Amino acid sequence: MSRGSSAGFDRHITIFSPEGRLYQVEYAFKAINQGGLTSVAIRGKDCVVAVTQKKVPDKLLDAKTVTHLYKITENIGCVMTGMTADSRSQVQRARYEAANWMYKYGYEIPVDMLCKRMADISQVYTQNAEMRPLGCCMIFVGLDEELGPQLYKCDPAGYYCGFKATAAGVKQTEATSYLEKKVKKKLDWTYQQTIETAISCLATVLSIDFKPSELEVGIITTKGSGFKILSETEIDVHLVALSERE
Amino acid sequence: MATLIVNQPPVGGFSFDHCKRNAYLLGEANKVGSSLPTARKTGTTICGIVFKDGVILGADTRATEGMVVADKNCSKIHHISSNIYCCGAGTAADTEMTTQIISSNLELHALSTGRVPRVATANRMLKQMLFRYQGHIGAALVLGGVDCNGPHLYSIYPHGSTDKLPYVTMGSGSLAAMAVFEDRYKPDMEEEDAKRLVRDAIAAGIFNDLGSGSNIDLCVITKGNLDYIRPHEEANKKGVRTGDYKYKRGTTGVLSKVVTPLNLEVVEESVLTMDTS
Repeated sequence: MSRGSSAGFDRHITIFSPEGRLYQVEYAFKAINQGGLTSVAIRGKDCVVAVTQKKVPDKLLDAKTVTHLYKITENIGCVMTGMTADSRSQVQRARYEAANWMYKYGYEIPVDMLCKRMADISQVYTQNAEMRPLGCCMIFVGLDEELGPQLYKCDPAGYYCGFKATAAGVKQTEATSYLEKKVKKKLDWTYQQTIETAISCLATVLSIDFKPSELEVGIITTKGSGFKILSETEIDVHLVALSERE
Repeated sequence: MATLIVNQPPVGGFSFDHCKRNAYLLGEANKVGSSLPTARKTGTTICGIVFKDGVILGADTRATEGMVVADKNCSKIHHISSNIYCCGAGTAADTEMTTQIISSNLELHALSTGRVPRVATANRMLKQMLFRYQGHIGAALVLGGVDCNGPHLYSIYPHGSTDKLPYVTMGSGSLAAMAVFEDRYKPDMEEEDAKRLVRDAIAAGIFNDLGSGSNIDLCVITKGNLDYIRPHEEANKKGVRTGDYKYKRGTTGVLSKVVTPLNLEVVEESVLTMDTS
C-alpha cells in the first residue's frame, strides 16, 4: 500500500490524499466540462423533460448520429453530459442492467433502482486502482409504475439523488440557481410549462437564441407511450410558443 | 469495467459427474436381478384460487414417507413475504428450503427497492432456480399473493415451467381438487364462497387420494390483509379410544405369592468428581 502523498500517487490513482480527498474523482468532475455542453432536466406534475445542447462542430458530421439522449427502457431515458465515449459505455451498461433486472425479477426496473445500480458501479471505480472513474454525468428521466414521474442524477463519485429539477455540464451552477428560483415559485408544472421552463433555462444561462437544430429534447409523460425524443418540428413548436410568450 | 457481460461467480448446482458411473452400476444391478432404490414421493393436495379481492391458498396437512404417514399435521403453506404465500408439493425438504431461499432473497430485494415485493418477482426467482437444477429439486409449488398490480396466482413445476392462472391445483390429489374447481369456479367470487370452494377442493383430495389427508389449511390474502387459517377444518380428527387395555388388580386370580428379599451389603462407596473446568 503506497503511503499517500509522500509517494505522490494520490493524484494518479484513486487513493486518498492526506486531506482525505480523492483527486482522481475530482478530476473526473472536471472532465465532464470537457464536452462543453450543458443539460437541464425538470420534473413536472405528470411529465419529466430533459433538454441538452446539440453542437455539430464539423459540417461533414451527420447531425442525425450526434445525440446525447438515450432510451434505456420503454419508460426510462437518460441524458448524458461529459465525455462522449464514457457516456456511451455507461448507457450500454445501464441498458444491460435494466434488461437483466427484467429477466431476474419479472418487472421493469424502477428509475431509482437503475440510478442506484449505476451509482454503485461508479463507486467501485473510485475504489479500484486499476480503473479510472468515468467522466460523465447521467441524468435519468422516467415513469415509475407506483410513484409516477421520476428524475434522478448520478455522478462519477458514485453519488445519486432524486431531483425536482437539475442541471449538469459547463454552466451547471448558473442553471441550477435559475431553476431554484423557478421551483420556489411553482412546483407542479404542466407538460407545456415544463418544456418551456427547461428550454428558457438553457437559453438564459447560455445566452443563446436556440434554433430547433441546436437543441435535443427528451420527454416522458403519464399520458404518452414511454420515453420519446422530440423531432425538430416538435421542438420548433415549443420555441415559437416560448418566443411568443416573451 | 463496463463490459457487457458481468463476471458472475459460479452458482451452485448438482454435479453430474457420476451419471455415467451410476448408469453402469444400474446395468450391473439389473444383470444380477436387483434394482437400485427409488426416490420417495410424498402425496399432497394443494390449490389456489383468485377471487374478487385477492387470492386463497389451500392445502392438506399429511406428510407421507412411502406408505406411512410421517406427519399428521404438517404446514404446507409457506411464507414468502407478508403479501405472498406459497404451497409446496413434492419432496418436503425441497419445498421448505426452496421457499426459504426465495423468501430471504425477496426480502433483500424489497429492502433494496423500498417497495412491496411483487408476485411476478417471486415467480421468476423460483422458476429460474428450479430450472437451474433441471428438475432434480422435486418442488411443485402454488404461489399466490397480492401486490401493487392486484392479485396473482402461479403454479410452478419442478422443471421450472410456470403457469399464470385464475385457479390451480398441484400434488397427487390435484385431479380430485381440479375436478371440484372445474365444476364450480366462477370469476370474481365473494370471499366466503371462494373459501368454501377451496375447502371442498382440498376435501376432495383428502378423501379420494391416499397421499393426502388430515386437516385443511387455508390462507386468504387480500390487499393489506392476511388470514392464515391453520387449521380451517379438522377433517380427520383422531378418534378417542373407546376401550382400555389396562386391567384392574385382581382380574387375574393370584394362586400363591413368594417374596425373597435380596440383602446387599455396601462394601465400598467412592465419589468421583467430574472435571468441569
